[in-house]
Amino acid sequence: MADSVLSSRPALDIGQSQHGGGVTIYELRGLGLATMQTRKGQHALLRDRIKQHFLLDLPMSPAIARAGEIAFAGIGPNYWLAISESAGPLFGMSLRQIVAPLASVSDQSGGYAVLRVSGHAIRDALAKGFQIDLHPRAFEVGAAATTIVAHIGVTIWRCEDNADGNACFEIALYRGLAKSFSSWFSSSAAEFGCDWQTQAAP
Amino acid sequence: MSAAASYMKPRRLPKGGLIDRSRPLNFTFDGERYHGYAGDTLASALLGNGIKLVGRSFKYHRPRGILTAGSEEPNALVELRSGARREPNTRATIVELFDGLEAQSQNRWPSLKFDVGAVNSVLSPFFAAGFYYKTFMWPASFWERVYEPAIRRAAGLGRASPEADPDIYEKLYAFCDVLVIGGGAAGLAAALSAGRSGARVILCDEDYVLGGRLNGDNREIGGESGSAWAHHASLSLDALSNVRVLRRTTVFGVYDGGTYGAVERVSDHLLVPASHQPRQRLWKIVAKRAVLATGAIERHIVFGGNDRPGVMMASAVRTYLNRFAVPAGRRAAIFTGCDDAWATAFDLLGSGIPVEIIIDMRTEIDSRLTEKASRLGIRTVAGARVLTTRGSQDLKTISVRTADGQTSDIEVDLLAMSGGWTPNLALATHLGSRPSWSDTLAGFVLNTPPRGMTVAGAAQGSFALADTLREGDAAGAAAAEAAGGAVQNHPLPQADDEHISSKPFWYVAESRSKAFVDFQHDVTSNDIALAAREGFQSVELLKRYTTLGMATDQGKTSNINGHALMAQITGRRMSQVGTTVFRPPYTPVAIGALAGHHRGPAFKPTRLTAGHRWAEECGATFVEAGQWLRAQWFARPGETHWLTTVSREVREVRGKIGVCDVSTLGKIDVQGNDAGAFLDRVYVNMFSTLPIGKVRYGLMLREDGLVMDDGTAARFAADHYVVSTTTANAGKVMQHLEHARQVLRPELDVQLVSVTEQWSQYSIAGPHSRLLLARLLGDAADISDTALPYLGCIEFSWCNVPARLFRVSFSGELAYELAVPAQFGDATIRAMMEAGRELGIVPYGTEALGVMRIEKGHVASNELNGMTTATDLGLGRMMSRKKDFIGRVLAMRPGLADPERPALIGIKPAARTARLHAGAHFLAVGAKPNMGNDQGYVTSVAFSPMLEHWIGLGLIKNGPARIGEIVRAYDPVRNRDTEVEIVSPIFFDPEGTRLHG
Repeated sequence: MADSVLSSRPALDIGQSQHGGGVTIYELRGLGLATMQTRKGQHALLRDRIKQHFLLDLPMSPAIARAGEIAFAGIGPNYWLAISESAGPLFGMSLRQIVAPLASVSDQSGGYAVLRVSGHAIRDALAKGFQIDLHPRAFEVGAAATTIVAHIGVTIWRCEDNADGNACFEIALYRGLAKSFSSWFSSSAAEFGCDWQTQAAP
Repeated sequence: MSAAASYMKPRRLPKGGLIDRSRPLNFTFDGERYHGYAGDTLASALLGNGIKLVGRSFKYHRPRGILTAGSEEPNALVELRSGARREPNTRATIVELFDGLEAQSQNRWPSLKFDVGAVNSVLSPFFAAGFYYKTFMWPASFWERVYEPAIRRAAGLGRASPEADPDIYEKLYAFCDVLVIGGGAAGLAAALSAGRSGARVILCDEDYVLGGRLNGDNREIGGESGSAWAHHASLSLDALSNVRVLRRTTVFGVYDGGTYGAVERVSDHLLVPASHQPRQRLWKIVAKRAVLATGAIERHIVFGGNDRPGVMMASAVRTYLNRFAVPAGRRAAIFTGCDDAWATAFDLLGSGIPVEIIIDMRTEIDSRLTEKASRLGIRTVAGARVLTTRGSQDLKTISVRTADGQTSDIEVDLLAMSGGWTPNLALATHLGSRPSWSDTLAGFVLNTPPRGMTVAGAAQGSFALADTLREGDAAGAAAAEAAGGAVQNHPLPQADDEHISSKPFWYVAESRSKAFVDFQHDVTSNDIALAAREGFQSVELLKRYTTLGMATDQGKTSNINGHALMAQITGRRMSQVGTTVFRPPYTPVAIGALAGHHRGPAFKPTRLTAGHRWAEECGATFVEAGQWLRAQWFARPGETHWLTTVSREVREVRGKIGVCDVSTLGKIDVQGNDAGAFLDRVYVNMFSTLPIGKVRYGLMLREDGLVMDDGTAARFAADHYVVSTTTANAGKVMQHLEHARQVLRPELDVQLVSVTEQWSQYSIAGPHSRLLLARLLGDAADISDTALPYLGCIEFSWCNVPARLFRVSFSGELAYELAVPAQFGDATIRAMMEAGRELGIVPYGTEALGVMRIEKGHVASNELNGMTTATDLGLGRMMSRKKDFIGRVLAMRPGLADPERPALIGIKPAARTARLHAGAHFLAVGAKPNMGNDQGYVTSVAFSPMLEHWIGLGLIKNGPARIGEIVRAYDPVRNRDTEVEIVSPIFFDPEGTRLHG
């Protein structure tokens, strides 16, 4: 048993797609996720360390900064969600080593489901639950917000628009709430035609 | 054709109106079939079929017709649709006609034309204002048993469907620079000027066609008809990508911070909503600025028989004629005190409807109007009034008194009345702004609108179309500019000339028959006079005493008449009497729209563990634990009672091995150089001394000294602990710790984060548990008793996945908790079951867990109930004397330190076969069951499969000192009285030998 492989399971069950294609959704799989909080008085050193190691400026506001396959989203004062596109559950440990002793890191690779949503009607669909202004002028590429949707706490950030010019967002929420979120999302997006896609785990 | 429909002749004009004659629509009213056209409202279609009698009034069951052509309608309330979609009290004046519409009249029995309840009208002297207060006072014993049921039977209007609503509802959150409320002339002008500046604009209009009065009146703007101009304006707005036009949308409330509530009737005009379309949508709109362009509401005149079907608002008559091509009668009269209503006469005559007379209460009237009337052959009388009306169920005759005192009867079937216009300021008053009286405008206007709101057009008392357009345009531009838009100059559309002179006129004092002030609540002029006589002279008291303006129409047409009557009776000016204000909603909002997506299973979110799917496959029965669903037990085929299943699960855990999903327990990562010092502060016992690789049981108190939660903390590094909480208290404990970190001890270097969702955690309990882990984990971890003794913890990598193993036990057995990142939780439980198959592994649920913890005397939520102290629970010695901790000082209060406080004990039924019940109170044998003799209560009970009888935990005075004593567990709720023996709370394996395997 000890030599076998544990397969990871997505947080979200694929919903029923409709015609229309106004909205697409899929779950990002195999992500490395970790929360990172500054140790007392280590703020400046932590910023330098992150800059030096990941070549990015740690966001000091509700925003997401990316460099390569790493991103940091500001989710509170001195508090970030760090994302690696493929490092999975080992990311937390490696990040901890990189930032020690300047920050506390906790693996959250299983704690959150991260969903990528896009499409020409995505803002109209999200407006049925997000009580924040996602208009392109109010919520620019790289903006992030930690908010409530359908009584579920989420963090949302805006990605670069898709090649077809449609807006694209990623939404992180507690894994255990993924089914309730998807119940809200699928009923909100159905009128536009929701295309449920899968992304193979790396 | 039925008898009912036979005498009604269609009254549709051959041409004109904003209806689509190529699309006839069928509908039924009280079971009779009729037809109308696309573009009709139910009211226009009924009038188009010659139907004037539409409902019965609330109190007196008087025949009522259609008074208005808008959302202010007090009379024409009908039940719409049938079956699960049946909805009462819809206003026929705003119901958009659709093919297959079914409507029923309300508040009548057995039929609309013959209504037994109309006897109330004869008894009306008894039903005056204050009837309930004066009548149902004595005896007090009748209040609940007799009066309330009787009043409840009489109360209410219409019948809601008892079935579940088959439609969906949703909410929408929108943001804009400028919100324009109302799509009439002012609103359209405002939206156009704001929209052209590039600002984000939302225009809401309750109608399905934009234009407001422009569609009902015969006006010209810029050389085209008013309705054509409105149509072109709406096309221009639709073409602007920064403007969103919401038709069929009522802004119903104004809230703090520029927040507005609106309801969009997405599918109310359809027989059945289209697939995935909601019936209604609730909008929460946050706007930097708002332009209130809600227009004005025409007021009626209070005179005898003014509620008879056939008596209508003058503007409504014009709307039915011009917008729907429906003349509301065959021979008309006009009763007014303002120029505006004369246009009704001219429009009717222009459509070939004879106008018998214009009765104007003014003695001086603009000669241009009287000359035009005379040219058209309309008789006019100045300084005259209508005394009363006659007709059984609709209007036949009016009785007119002229200035010289002569009274004559005139046969008409339509009386168009107008007492002038009241600016519609309801929304502007939601945040407390109080309108003040303007003698010039004979109405209440707003001097200080709420922050961020501008009032424009008729809502501000600007009744001339040219003024309305100019004000709307300016308000839209100013709002856009204030919100950051760049305003462009554009030419203002020119409106034709009009007459708007008006003299306030409220009621006909000479009328002797019943004269209605509030149609929906049947408040008459006599009720106002009675209120004045009895001292209810303030408008607020008048409202509550007579229920004036308290119906679902909020008195849109009636309030001001009532206030004016009160002013006249008490000899005060309108400015002294003042006005009541409104609160949301402006018009009724369906509960479904407020609930949106959140009903049924989606009422609140549900959290599922990573092993949920597996548990479902194993046939688990689930129970709600906070937001979580947890497996309660896993019934096997043939097990028909839950207790059989639970007892089997307990025996198998204690005999072999079982596994339980404990992922829902709260888990908090506590990190930082001062993590230990921080935990010392929040727990009653010491944690800074806990060695790395060890777990300790801990107890937290609230500030008030009572127990908040219990759990464990494991130390993985000098600066890293993992705290566990109960499932129910996880959120509360996290808040409590954050408060302690941020507010109480900000100087400490400590960081907190919830990792509840990150770790999928399974408890493996039973004598074979070590064997199972050895098979499952192989070389990944050393789980020998030396490497991992009781209350030890390790971190290791298993199948390239970080894993944690804790040797803790809630069941009293040799037990471990294995934690893996949640994405591997499903694979882990399946692997565990596979590895344990030969060992006889069984899954067990929360019930078996509960039985085993009661057998071991462990406290849980039933005992940690917010009323117990550490000492009550037998955990007093855990409270460290070497340090301070939250709750320490207040735990020493005399009340909490009282040695007589009920404390934890175990109980067994004296007759071992008896069943125990939680919640029963302890009484001495022979004592009377009263509060004075109460000694405590039973907190938890279970059937112990190991002892083969019921056992329980409880809190009783001087508990630990009374072991062996017999008391009664008295349960009046279940009508039981059982003798129990007080025993140690540890029923099973008191030495704890099983823990060590």
